[in-house]
Order: sequence, then C-alpha cells, then structure tokens
Amino acid sequence: MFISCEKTSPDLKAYTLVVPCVSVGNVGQLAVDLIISTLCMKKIGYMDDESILPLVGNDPFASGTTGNLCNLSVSCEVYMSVVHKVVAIQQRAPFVKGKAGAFRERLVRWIKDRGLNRVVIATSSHAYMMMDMQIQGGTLLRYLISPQLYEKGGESILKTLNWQEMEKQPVDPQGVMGNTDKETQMEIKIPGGGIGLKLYNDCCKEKIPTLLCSKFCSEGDNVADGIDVATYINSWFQWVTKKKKESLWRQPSSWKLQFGSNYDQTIYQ
Amino acid sequence: MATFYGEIVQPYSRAVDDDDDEDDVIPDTSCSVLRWSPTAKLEMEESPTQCLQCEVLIIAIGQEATGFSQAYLLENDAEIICVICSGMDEQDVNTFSQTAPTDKTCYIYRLKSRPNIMMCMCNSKVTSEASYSWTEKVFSKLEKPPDQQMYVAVLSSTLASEFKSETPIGDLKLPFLRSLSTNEFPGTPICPYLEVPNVVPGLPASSEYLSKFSITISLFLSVLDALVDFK
Repeated sequence: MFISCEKTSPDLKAYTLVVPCVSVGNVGQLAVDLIISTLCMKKIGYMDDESILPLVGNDPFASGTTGNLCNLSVSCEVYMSVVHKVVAIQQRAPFVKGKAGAFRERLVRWIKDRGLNRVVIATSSHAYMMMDMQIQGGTLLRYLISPQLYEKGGESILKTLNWQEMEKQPVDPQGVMGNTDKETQMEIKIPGGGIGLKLYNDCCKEKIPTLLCSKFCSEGDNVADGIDVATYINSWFQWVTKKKKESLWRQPSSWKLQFGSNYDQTIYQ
Repeated sequence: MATFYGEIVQPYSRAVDDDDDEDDVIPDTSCSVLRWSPTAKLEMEESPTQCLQCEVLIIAIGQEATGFSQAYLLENDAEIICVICSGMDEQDVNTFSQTAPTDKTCYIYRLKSRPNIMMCMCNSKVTSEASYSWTEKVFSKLEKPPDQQMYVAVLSSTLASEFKSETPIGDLKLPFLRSLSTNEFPGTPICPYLEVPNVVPGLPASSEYLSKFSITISLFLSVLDALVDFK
C-alpha cells in the first residue's frame, strides 16, 4: 500500500497522523493542505491503492522558485514533519465506488504496523442535516475522542479547550423503520462525512488513540471552513503559533484558480 | 433544490461515500482482460520471467493521440501482440473487427524490426475505475531488457475549457502541449511542464504510479479547443 520515496521507510513511531476524508466541500483535504504547507512537510511517499481514483499533477506546494520544475504528485500522498512529529496523508481524488471499506481496513492495518502514536481525522458534515440541538449549539465545529486518547492526556487538554462533542441522534427519528426501539435508540451520525466516522470506529476498535474533528458546512467556497478545521486541530496540538500581522496558515500554490481560469473582462463591458 | 429560474436540480456533493453506500452491491466493471497473440504467448513461455522485454512503450490515449500515433509513429511492419478489453458488462457486444459501438478494446503493437519498441493504441474510453487494473495487467507482462531502462511515454489530450490558466481561454494559442515526467527522466521535455493547479485524471494518470518500478515515464498532454467524440 505505502510506497516510500526513499529506499528505506522512515520510522513513524511516536508520530501523530492526520487523515482527511473526502467529505462535504473537501474541508478535511483543505485543512490538511494548510497543515502540510505551513509546517513545510516533506513528501515521504504515496499510497498505491486500487480504491482511489488515479490523478496526477505537478507539485501542489511548489513555491515561486520551483514552479518551473516537475515534481510529480499523485492522488494519495504521505507527508512528514520531523520537527513537529506529524505525518499527514493527503487524498486528492475520491474512492472507487464500493471500495472505500477495503481502503479503510488497509489504512488501519498500516497505522498499526507503523506504530503511529495517534490519529486525527479531519472531516465535515452537511449543514442542512443539523439537528435542532446542534443548531442551538453556537459553534459549527464538533469533535469525537476515543477512550484511549481521552485517558492518554486528552482529558486535561479538553478541559482547557471550549470544544463541543458531536451529539448523538435518534437512529430512526421519524419512526419509518417501524421499530419503536429505534426511535429512542441514539447513535452518532456524520452525514456527508465520507469514511470519517467508520474510520474513527475502526481505530477505536483497534485501540488506536483517535480524535475526529468535523465542521458543519455546505458546498461552495470552503476555504474558510478548511482554515477553521485546521485552526481547530492546531488549538489541540499547537503546531503553529500566530505571529503579529501574519495569518496563521500559508495557503499552497495549488489553491489559486479554484473556480476556473480568469475570464475576459470585456464581456461585461 | 430549485435554481433562480425554477428548474429542479440535484444538489451536488463531493462527499462520495455517504453512509450506506458501501453496503450496496456494485457491479465490478473495473477489471481489464488481456489477450496476448500466440507469438507473444510463446515468447513469454520461453522467457524465465514469463514477461516480454520492452525498451520503449508509447501509450496513446484517446482519438487525437491514437490518430497522431497511427499517422506518424506506427510503421507498416507493426504487428498486434495484445488486445486489452476493459469496462465490459454482460450487455456489451464485442466484435472481432472492433467496429461495434460498444467495443471497448485497445491494442498493443510491436515493431517487427525492433521488437523492444511497443505502442499501445487506446482508442476507447477506459474509465477511471478500470485504470488501475489496466495498468497493473499491462505492466505485469512487460519488463526492461537486461542492462537497459524502460521508457514509457503517455500521449493524451484535454479540452482548453478544462485547462486552468491565469490567461483567459480566449487568449490562449491553441493547441499546445504540456508535460509531466518522473524524476528519472533525463533532461527536460520539449514542452513546458503542466502548471499547478491543473491535474490529469483517469488512465493517463494511472501509469504515473509505475514510478514504483523505477520506470521512466513522461506524460504529454495536448490542450485542444475541440475534442472528437469517442463512439
């Protein structure tokens, strides 16, 4: 699954892994783009997997000086920052329909084999599917924490942060399933969150300390949502600190022209 | 959801795998089938690695690239050594002469004078889902000759409207070429590299994954103002 750029694979023990999910507005991927770009993370390899659709392009994090070079970038790559002890997976293409489950299994096995310390899942959820209690909550950001991470220092960090946990919802709120138990039974739902919740559950089952960060949003210009999720994750891990008059995050060069080419201004004259 | 003009449109979401999608039974059309010619099969059986030796492979994808390759690259002494069928389902009609609209095959040619030079003509649409299997199967039977490198050139095309540029599309001088290549590629290609944030999806992209086998690969993308419809 993982193909290393170097002859020997780097040791990832004691590292934190950040995984985005292909979800509403690609918010998780935008957040991971910001983290990779700001922490100047180095590409260490890519995921060669049949479950992800193929994609190729030039270096998405190229700065002005390297723009004339070719540094291939593919649909799912792995980046690393030795200074911050972070590894990030960036997925740039959706899954082949019906194969996301197999990818999840392979990913969890890879996380276990590499001995990664903890996992952070960045995802998003449909704002229009928020429950009444979620709308009243004030913030649009939510988290889920695995018991392992909670015990491993998560509890004390959460006390300092004013975070709101993802609410449980009735399994069958309208009672369409005809089962009265399901109207009262509660579960966590992240509609539009891609593999996020299932990956979180898989990690919990494998006893991997895991944190899931999600934002309720809609499709559109999701740059602000990406920044919000990255800032949310950063408020826990403190990888970057705000300097005066500078924004916290550095946007990668691949974010330009998000809505297509420039147009001929004369058509509006 | 209704638009300003009142028509109903399906809300678009990039969140592909919603909730129960994984539990649905999805017909798997992502598999490609390769049929090698009797001569190629015999050669493979004689080889200790069960592979054919290939020094240069040109993969032409789409009508423009195959048309160009047939006109300028394919010599008269080329023989067909393999046929690749992908994305077939039960309803598809497959003809030997490759004239039915549902024929989803492409051919690998080899020069008789220099059998290490091969050319793959992919004149039919290979879906993104089928690309992984397509590439894996083709390259599982090809190997570089001893003491030499294997070079793969992928030729493909795209529409100018798909191309993102700071210059308005109307001001671009069409057609033009862009390239991408792996680090092993010596020198610089004859055209500029593909600018960020442009990306190439599908079959042309899947061959770039071959870099794991230390194969040198270049992708040449022609940006055109109109594409010929595949059918």
